[in-house]
Amino acid sequence: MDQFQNFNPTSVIPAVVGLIYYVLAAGAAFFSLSTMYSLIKYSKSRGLAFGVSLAYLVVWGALFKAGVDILMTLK
Amino acid sequence: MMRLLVWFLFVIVLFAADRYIPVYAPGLLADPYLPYLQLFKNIYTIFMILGLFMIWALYYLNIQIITNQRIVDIDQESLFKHRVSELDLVKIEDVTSETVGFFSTVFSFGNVYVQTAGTTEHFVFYNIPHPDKVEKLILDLYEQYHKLPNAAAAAPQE
Repeated sequence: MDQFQNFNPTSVIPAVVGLIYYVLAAGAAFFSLSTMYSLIKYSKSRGLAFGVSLAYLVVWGALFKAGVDILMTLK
Repeated sequence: MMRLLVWFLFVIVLFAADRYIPVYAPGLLADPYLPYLQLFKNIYTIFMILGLFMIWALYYLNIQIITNQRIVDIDQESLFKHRVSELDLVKIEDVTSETVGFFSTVFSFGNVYVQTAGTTEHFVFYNIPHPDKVEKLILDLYEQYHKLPNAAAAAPQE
């Protein structure tokens, strides 16, 4: 009962924001992988498709890591 | 082209936010809100990069091939919609090029409609560069094809 009485709604905001961030990032990852699949499957130049996909993955990974780092600082 | 313009609008929104938040909402740059703002910008940038990647992939996978025998139209209309159509030059009845709108006229892109004989659906090349040149190329190839000695034999008899 004490737990409910001492419940502070603002304390769950970082968790909710984190959940929203991971859901959005998962959606972005799904569409990224789908695009890469289509690109590699139908491209007339597999090398170019792989190269662009790899460059995109590096940028995407760096952005996602930066987002997770910010998420860890939320209070 | 239209997709890219919409993408640029989103880029402008990001730059405008960087420019005007310190002026009109400096409170957002203070401690409790700053990480949330950075997180929002981060996910916004992720989706912008994704948008650019998808726009380029759809552009790159849309191919039109014109040979002296047939026309091949490879359409990647969305991520999960891929269509390949082929048309023999002999079946062509009419070719029309179309440039509509300010941007199409300035940047010289538009549609080319290839009408085919019978019940076969007509071909459309959407938003291709220099549609008038493509139309002329198809008609020239059509004429060349009909001048070939074996073209009459290859043509379907109605």
